[in-house]
Amino acid sequence: MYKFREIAYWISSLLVLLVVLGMAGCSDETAASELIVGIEAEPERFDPITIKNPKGFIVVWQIYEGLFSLDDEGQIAPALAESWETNDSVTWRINLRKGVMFHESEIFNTPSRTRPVTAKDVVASYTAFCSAASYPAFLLTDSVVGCADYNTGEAQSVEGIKQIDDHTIELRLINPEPFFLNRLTTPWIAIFPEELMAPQYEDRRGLDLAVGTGPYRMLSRTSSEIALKRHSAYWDKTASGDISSLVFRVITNDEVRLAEFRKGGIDLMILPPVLYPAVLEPDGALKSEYTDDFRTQIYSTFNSHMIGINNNTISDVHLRRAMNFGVDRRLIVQKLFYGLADITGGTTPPGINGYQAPFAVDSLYNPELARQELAQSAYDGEPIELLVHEQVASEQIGQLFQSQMKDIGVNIQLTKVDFNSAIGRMIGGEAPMFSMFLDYVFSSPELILLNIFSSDKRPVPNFWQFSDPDIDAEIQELRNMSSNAAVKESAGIEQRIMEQAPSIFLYKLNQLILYSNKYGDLPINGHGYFRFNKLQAK
Amino acid sequence: MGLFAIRTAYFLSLWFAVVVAAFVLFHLVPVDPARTMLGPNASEEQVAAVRRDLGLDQPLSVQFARYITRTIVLDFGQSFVDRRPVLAEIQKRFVVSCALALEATLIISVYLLFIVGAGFNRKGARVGGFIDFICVSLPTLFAAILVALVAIAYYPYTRFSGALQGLQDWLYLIPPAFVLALYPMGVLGRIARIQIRDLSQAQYARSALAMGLSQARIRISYVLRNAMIPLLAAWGNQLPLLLTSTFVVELVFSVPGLGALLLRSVLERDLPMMEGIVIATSLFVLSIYLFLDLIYPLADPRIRRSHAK
Repeated sequence: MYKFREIAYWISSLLVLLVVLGMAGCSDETAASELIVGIEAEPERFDPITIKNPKGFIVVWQIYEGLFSLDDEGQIAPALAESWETNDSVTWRINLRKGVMFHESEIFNTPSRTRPVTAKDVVASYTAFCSAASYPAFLLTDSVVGCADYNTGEAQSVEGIKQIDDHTIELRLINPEPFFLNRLTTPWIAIFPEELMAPQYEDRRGLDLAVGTGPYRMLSRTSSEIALKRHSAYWDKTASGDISSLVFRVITNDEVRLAEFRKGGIDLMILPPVLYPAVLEPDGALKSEYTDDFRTQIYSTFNSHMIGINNNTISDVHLRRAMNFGVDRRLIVQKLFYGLADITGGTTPPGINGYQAPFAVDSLYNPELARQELAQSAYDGEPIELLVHEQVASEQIGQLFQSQMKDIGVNIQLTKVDFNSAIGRMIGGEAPMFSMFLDYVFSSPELILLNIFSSDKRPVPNFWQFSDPDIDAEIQELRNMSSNAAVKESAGIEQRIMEQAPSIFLYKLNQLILYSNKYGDLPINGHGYFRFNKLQAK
Repeated sequence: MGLFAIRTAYFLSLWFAVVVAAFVLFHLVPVDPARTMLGPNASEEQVAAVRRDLGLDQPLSVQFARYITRTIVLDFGQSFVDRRPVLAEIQKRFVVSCALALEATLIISVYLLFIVGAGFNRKGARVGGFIDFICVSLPTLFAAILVALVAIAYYPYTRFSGALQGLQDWLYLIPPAFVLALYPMGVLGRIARIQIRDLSQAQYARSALAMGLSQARIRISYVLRNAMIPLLAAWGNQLPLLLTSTFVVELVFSVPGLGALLLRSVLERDLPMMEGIVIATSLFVLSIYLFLDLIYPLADPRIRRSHAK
């Protein structure tokens, strides 16, 4: 008996020691400097050329950054570029910030395993973005001279991209674009060292090898966790946040991720709409069980949802207008997103580069007017097919739309397909209507109108096959205006476009993040770039 | 040696059929891989250029010949989604799925040992029957979410590094392995219990008892040995399932295994990844069946004798 007591004493002493050691390992200092973010899927390769899913940007944009960015007000902010000049909006000379260092990496043959960014890297990066393998090539192919030819293999280099000296490049455009820099504010057009494109790194690039200039550098990556560490030589010394290391944990199931968050296994997560009922009161406030330890923050995105219409198939403008007036956007936003979306009457997200939408939100839903328009149309009650898919509540939106159209006398028939098939049928002109979303990468309305509604952009990305020569001329005229005038004029053009209701634009989505209230506000720009390097512990 | 050659040839022909079926099925799917790679914003010219690069503008016979020559050496190319090497990704994920399946096998083994112990006892058999019923009838998704939430609340190891780097990762896999093991536990447990009950009443067991042999010797030498034959056959059927039916468990527990990868590839229409997983998994499953075919004669002298003839 005495022996048993003695053993129990030693075992319990050992356990107490382990607990004390464990607590020492979790000191406040560690908790404040490491931020663990829960994400819902393993991101793609961190290859700036091929990455396409916006859900991975929360990680990859900590590593890579571009020449320009957006500030908190949505205005162009220089990043790796220091200044720029143009006399005619055709030739753009961009001066690079000096002394910007790449992350330390084995790819550099220097004693310090790093080196500064030069104009040569920018030319190599931009040329790679014009290549056939590049996913975001569409950002440059219709604007930079020679980019489209290089993309299709008809040229060996991009004629419009030139290195002037070690810290200056020149970009030459096909047409004048005073708004050109708004193509480059997305970190999608990031700068990376030319060594990274060497054939020996082909299979590793973006997997265990990612080298950029961003505020964090990659330490390790597995399918379950990605660890980043603060880039000690980061150029922006004003970013004085407390987060020295970032860990992204992949937790695929939403309920499990929330449970892990409540337990303290992760510090921050983007809340998917499916979890709103678990976390939010019906009025959108955080439930009381969360308020002691956690906080929410809403951030605005450039993600817009619409019921797309193929204008070739549904050419009756009265029918299109009837559906546009007959949809109750407020109900959709309230039912599916707890009101966390901004209702829109057109495609351009309100607030983008100071854009004021010309639509009165309260007058968008008008069932009486919808019935009048329907009476003027040639619609005979035949079912109209609407494609829905598995992403971003597309099917639920379709169901609500179907029910609302039934109320005004339009017969909508839902067809569910997978997202890629929906895209294929949409582009192929095989879908009369489609529930779809767009993540805008342009940060100014002129570029959105130019791409979404110009006749020469059919079928991609003018998915609605909209064509109006007068509107084409008006959009092209934006090239000759000053920035403020062009933004203002864009609102007028969009209003005239929407009189024809080429599609039914519903809302711009806002996202909700849930995180520990031991941190202050997290700056996030319109592109969804989380500035973790500015996050401060309270 | 003759048996080995015949069975190997048989399973190789099955595998070849899977390879051909994968090509046919995946080319019937109405998806443009070039569009998948470039997304909705790319122009038709850009998409056509990538289609040429991938050789998708070639006649189907040329594509098939190239596919066969590559597949035989397990060269599945690159993912259409992010161009990662397919074989390397499968290898990485395969290790994790195997670890999960291994732990599930251990859990099943422990459970079967319990069944064997309790099977000779009437009360134990009743409790075992109830447990088997629960194991078989619980929907996997429900069980997985339930176990995952309970694990987060009470189990200390809920963080997985993704690469089996240490003991903590193996401990992390215990709850998902338990869920994965539930169905086979129910099926195999029932078979084991019925076998033990029936064989304990068999004439040769009674004769042995009448001849004065001890209960322990009868159970081990006669009952258990004979019960092993159908149990081994049933286990052989369940074993590959542990590897191929993991996707629900892997998704709920965020285990980066083959099942989760297959599901993602299907949703993203990533044809090379899908082909690679199907072909590599079928090769593995057929290898297990071949192995089991070869060890059956060791357990069952009747098969051994029939092969000898």
